[in-house]
Amino acid sequence: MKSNILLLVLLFLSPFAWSHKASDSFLNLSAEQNVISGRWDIALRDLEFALGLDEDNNGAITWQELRNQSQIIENYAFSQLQVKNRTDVCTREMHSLQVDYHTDGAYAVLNFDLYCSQSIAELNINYQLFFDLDPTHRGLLQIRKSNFSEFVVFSPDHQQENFTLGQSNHWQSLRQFVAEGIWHIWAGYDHLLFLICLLLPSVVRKTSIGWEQKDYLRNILWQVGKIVTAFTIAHSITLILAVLQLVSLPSRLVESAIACSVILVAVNNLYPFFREKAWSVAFAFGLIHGFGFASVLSSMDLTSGGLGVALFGFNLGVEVGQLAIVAIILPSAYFLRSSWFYQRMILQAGSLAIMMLAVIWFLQRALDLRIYEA
Amino acid sequence: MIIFRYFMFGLLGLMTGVLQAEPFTPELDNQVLEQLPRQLFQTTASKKVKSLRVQLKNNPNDWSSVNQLAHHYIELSKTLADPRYMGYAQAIIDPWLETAPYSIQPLVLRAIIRQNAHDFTGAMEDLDQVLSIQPGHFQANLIKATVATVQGEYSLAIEHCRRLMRRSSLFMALICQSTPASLSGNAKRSYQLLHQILSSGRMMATKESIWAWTSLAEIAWRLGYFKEADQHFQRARQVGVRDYYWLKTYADFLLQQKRPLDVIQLIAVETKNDSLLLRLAIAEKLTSSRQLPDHVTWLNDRFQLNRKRGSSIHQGDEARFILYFGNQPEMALQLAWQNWLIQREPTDIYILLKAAIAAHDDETIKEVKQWMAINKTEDVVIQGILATQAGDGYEI
Repeated sequence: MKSNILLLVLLFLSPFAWSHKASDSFLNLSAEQNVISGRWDIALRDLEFALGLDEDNNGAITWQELRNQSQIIENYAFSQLQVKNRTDVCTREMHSLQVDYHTDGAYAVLNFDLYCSQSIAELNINYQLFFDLDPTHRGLLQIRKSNFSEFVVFSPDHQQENFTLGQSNHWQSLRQFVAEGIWHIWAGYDHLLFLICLLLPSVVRKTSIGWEQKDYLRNILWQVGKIVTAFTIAHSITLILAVLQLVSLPSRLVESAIACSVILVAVNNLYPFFREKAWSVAFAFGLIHGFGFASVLSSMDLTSGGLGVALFGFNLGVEVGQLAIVAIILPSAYFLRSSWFYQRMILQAGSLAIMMLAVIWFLQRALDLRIYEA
Repeated sequence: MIIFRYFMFGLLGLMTGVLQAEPFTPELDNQVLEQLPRQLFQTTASKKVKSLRVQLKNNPNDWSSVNQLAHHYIELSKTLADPRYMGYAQAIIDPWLETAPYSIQPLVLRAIIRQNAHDFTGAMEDLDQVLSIQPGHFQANLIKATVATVQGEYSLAIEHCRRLMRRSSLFMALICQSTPASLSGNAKRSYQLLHQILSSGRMMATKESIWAWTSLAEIAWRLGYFKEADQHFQRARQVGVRDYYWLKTYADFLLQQKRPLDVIQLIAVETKNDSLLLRLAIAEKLTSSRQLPDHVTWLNDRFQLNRKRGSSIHQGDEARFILYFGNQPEMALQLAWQNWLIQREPTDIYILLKAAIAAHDDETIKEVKQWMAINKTEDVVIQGILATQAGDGYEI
């Protein structure tokens, strides 16, 4: 034995930083209400050592060999992982066994759900995988629930961890959605220009000899109020319908129609044909714009704080954004309304420019042309 | 474009572990997912390991099985450069030390395992324990000398090498002593002595031979005898066993000699090995290889992962990576310092100095110079690094 040990000593006379990656498993859990959906990546090398995957002992682990052991792998892995919600042990439902390559080789991917009897609030996770075989193994856990996200490394000295996931913060997510709403109305030029085009003529009226100013501020405010309210109600309706997935339209159609709406209101400013019916036009096109908002909202995580909070917050944000536009445009329009500059340059030339831009958008969106990247 | 890539990999690195590739369901039953190294299924040793595991399962209290199996694991971890097997050895030895904390053989094995996890303090504790029971214990003295050398405690190392002489192994004692002696003011004498011993044609075991010739090559390199160093490295290679320490050291030598193409030829296949992948990537950068972006991304992922799992044994390499590819001298310096507190081999000095120069940290440079003056360090590589002062030119 002495010579044997001597050999070992010689092996290590020059310490060499372990260069090969050590053994890790990657556990991703994301919780929602009372369900945790999970993905667990475990190295085939580790499973081979623990369970022996290579049935024919030829050194090659095939998909069939892995699949043959899927039940054993599942039982083995989950006997080393316990997830409790308060005192209640969550039950598992395995969905699929897949494969993924990490930089150090192939991993078995266990896709599963854990069902807990109550809404997930306080989780206790106990991880022991491979610790009896390899104390240098680590379990890398990423756990998420709406705004909550935490990363934990399990080791033989740290096998348990408690997480207080609690209820997500409604106020926080409401604020987030309001901000998104405001941002969207301001950053989405098409909504902005649509509104501006609707607002510009509200301070003047077209007569047979040209434009003339409206005199009564009350009438103007009433007109503007009707337009904004109609637009709001309309886009709220379609936004809700779309987010609830009751109605869905292809986004190319929606985006083209929105461009079209901008063209129409701009043309109306040059050759008025809506007249006093501007609010109903706002309503009709508001329906279309609502679908546009929905496509933004659906790209966001709606689970935080629930759908109600998301819809309400986003709509509120859009309103705030709209009112800010009104607050900026209306006073200046009101004071400039009698001037040639306003009537010719802003209202007519401006609308013409907007119309041309909207025509470009329309062609781009409807025909999928790349004229100008908006 | 290249700069942009490096910037992007920094960003991507932050998301490592969060973003994972998409898993897939293989289409064919016979699709090979993982190819195990030959040593794990074909060799007599692998069969022995299997039977020993069964024996141990049936009779957990059999030290002989534990001992044999631990040896196999430790050897496998070395040949495969895979730390898992160190873990497997640890798992079967730890229970023995819980019941009998002063048993010599388990303590020596644990010292080896701890040394390789760069837990030098723990390793020293185990070795002192053994030496307090048996002061002349051959293996314990040899390992202690090695750990002391790595930590820059050269006189302590030499003392324990000399204890080997009393055990009738003058030859081993001299090889043992050559590295610490060469690093503490006796480089030329150590070189001549070791060269003489190795040229005497004495038969040596495979690993002994690789170790001795590699040590000689390193001493020659530090002395600036580049041609001789290369010859000695070749002698170690001719032993015919692919040794990871040799690969790493020779790759560094070739980089320093501005022979990146030889580095690529030497270690192009060793991409699973972080230390070698780093050296490969440096060579690829010097030759503008198309593989470079992939390899840099992999390295970045692996260093991030090592940090996440709390492993600090890669800090020297990581500092070099960050300095060389990330262009963040301050961060590299911080890592190089942390590394310096644990180990002080020549490569650890190189990276600390290079990072300090790049970060314009004169205080660190001064401290390292003082340390070298105390130890009478002789190393042309260090002289080169200090002479350039820009921290470039030397790719090591």
